[in-house]
Amino acid sequence: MHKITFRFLIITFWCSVLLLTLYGPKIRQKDFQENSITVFTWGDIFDPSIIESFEKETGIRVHLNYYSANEELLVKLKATKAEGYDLIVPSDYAVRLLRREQLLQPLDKSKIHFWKDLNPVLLNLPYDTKNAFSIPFSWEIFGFGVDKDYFAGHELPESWRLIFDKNFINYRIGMVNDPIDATEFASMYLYGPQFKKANLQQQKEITHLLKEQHKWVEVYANFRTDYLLATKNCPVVVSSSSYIWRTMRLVPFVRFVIPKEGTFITIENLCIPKASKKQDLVYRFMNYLYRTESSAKHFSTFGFFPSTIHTDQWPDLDPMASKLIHATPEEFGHYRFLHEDDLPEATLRNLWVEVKTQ
Amino acid sequence: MKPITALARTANLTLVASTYLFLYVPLIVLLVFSFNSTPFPAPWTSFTWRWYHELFSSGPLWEAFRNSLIIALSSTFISITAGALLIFYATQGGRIGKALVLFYGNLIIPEVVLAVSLLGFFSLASIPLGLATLILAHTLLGLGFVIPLIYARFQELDHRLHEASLVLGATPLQTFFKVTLPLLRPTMITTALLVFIISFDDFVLSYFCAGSSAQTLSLYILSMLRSGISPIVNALTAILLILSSALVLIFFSLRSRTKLF
Amino acid sequence: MAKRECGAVREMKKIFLFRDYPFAIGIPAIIFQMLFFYLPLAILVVGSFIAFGEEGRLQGFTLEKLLFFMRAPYFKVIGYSLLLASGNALLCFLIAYPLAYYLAFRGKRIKNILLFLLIVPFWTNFLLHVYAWFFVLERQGFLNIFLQKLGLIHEPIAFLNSLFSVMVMMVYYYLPFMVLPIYSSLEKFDTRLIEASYDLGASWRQTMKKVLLPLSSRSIKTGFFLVYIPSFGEFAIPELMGGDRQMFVGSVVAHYILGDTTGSLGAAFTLISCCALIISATIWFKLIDYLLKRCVK
Repeated sequence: MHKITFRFLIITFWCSVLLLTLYGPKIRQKDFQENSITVFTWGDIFDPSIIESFEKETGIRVHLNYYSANEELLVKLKATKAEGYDLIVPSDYAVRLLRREQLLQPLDKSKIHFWKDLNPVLLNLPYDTKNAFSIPFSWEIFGFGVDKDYFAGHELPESWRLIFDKNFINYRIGMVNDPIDATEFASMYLYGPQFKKANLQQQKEITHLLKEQHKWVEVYANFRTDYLLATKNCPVVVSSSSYIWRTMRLVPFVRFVIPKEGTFITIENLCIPKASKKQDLVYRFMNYLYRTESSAKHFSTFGFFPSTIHTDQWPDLDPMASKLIHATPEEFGHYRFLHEDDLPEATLRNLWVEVKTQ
Repeated sequence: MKPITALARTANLTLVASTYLFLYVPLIVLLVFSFNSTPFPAPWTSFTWRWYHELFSSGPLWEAFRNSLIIALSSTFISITAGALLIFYATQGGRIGKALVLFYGNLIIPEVVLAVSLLGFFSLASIPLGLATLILAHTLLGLGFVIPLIYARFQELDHRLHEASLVLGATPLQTFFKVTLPLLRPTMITTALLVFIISFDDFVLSYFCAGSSAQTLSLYILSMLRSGISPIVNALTAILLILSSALVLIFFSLRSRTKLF
Repeated sequence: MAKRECGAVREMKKIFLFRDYPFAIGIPAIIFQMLFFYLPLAILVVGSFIAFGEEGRLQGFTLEKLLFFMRAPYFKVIGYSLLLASGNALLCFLIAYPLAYYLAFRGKRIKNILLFLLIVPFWTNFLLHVYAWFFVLERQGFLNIFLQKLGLIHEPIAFLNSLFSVMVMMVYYYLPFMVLPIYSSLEKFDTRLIEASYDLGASWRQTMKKVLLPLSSRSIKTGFFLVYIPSFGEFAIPELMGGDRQMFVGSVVAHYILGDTTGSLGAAFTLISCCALIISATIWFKLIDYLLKRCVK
């Protein structure tokens, strides 16, 4: 055999070995036992003790995989064509995108026992008008964690001015590290709660505002609310309510402030990917999750507002949370969702680089 | 008259001492506070083993630790083996001197570039991200160390030993296993230790190439850092320092035989 | 290297196949390298120039992606990274050289202990070091409390989330990379040259300048690049220690690469910054050579 042919064969052999090991996980079918479900979810939404008691009570094993952003969920689901997962927890706009890609299966309402317990303001929203594909699980509202001691005796405007008004701010703030959130907050401040997708001129103004804000930002971070407030590094931190509720439990001098002009909410929903065949097991899991004790436990651990409305039996529900949970439809109608109409991704990322490079 | 003035000597000594202080003060503070009963930022309250207990019962941490261990061991094994096989080829007269330059790139380019190009390659070829891809990435790093170091040592070996072995009737395979490898063993062990540590502590490659299914220790610590401060991390630092000291001791005991530095 | 096989092997060599088995065994390393290092790099380079139409179909050659980054913010980003890397390398050098000198020439009995102490933190996860520095530099951290107890300051200073904290951590992490090559070269240094220099009447400063430094130029350059090149792509330290207030090359690359539709833009920027890195590294190389030559004059 010719030397060159031989060498070529050897090279092909080794290449195939290498590629086989790499593609292996894809080819091999993940055969978990029949009596189990695979859940793809946020890192901090399901309390481990509730999962454990569910497993003990029903004998169904729950495999958890985590993501930290809706984009991750979308990319993964598109790549695997919705196979491999039995339950996912997308946010509001992600539900809309998933429906468009036809990656969800319609829900069988007869299997769901807790429908009457759900808060009606959370149902029939524009991203899934008949709730055919999603059930709201939890929600939170954006606002500020504020150090009461710092503002004692001073004016404390319940407004976006706390983070954007240069004439008022003489302290350092903690800001979100997401270009979409930041631009939408800026739009809210500049153009009021009815703002539309920013045109070119408005983009310039938003960029200008964010650049100015850069001077008094201590940290850009999505997750360090409790640390920044507890260590008194920043008297004002922009965050979502769940983080601030968790902080309030640890640190007594923190107060949650909702800007009066208007603010944003985000709702996490339970959906079943199209390719899942384990619907029965999933419905049993869902019914377990929405029990009163489970919902109460979730709120006390993670600070997310529940989607169920019967909170009278909940221990130690503080009045502010109760008021927010039992919002009237009119009050609720004032909240906006994020990502309703995004600017192109490249534009946003470029904007963010501009803001941070001074 | 001594050329080096006393002033210069003291200055040198002071600088060295302050450098070591600089290196160790954070670690000592961290260790001390790993026994504090209230989490930072509270000042010292009382002594407790509590955080160590929590550390040892934290499920996700041990999974991350296990993953990092698997990845580090695998990539070390693969790169050392590949290096050894390449040496075998060299012993049979294969001319790999020039091919060696191919491996310098792994350390010259910034890790970010390596991670980015691998990520692009994986998504283009639809290779699912996970343990396998991480092991592959770390092996690349490992090869960049293993091949140059082992080949350099190989060239220093006395080739008459090989010739003698062949003349005395051993097959090339036997020569390789009974003569070449034992001579290279100290270098291989020190290099393996080096690659193991680099892979175990690696952060950049894991950040880009891990996907959502493989959680490594670095990524786990990063998520804890991003979400605040927990004394469990202090306890973890203490444990890892002990581990690292043990490994460095092994490394040192072999150092004299390998002239690594 | 002479090959002298015994008779049995010579028989086997008659079959072509077997003659080449060392190749079959030895080649995986090279295949691995070509397939997973050079191929992805090539894809990266090529991908920066390709335009994709709807549904990801190839449309052709384009400079659009590269031109996207020809704007002020990105020049600033590259500039900052270059400054960070250069500053870090210089600081590391200033601290590392005296340390290596001491280890090689002075600390006879405690040399091994000192080396051991130097390497141990190096072999622990670097994120934990970031964490450790939080403890020290915090507003209520060790350093502030220490300075206040000493009466030097009355209000805590905000050390964190500034250029200072970023540089501290960078030097902390990269110091061993600079110390070890210089130390290994100084350890093998022929001390008779130093003695000769003193005998001929030179002061220690002159000896340093004309004898020690020039002759360790190779290791200085190695150390310099072991620090300079990775520092350029660093993004975790500025994010964690600097509050992510400033974007560097690594942060911009991560920002675009991990996005949904901007992956290839990230690749293009990687290419641009790599070019900047190579050019600047070459300039530094020449500069160091020139400076060391001037020392000898």
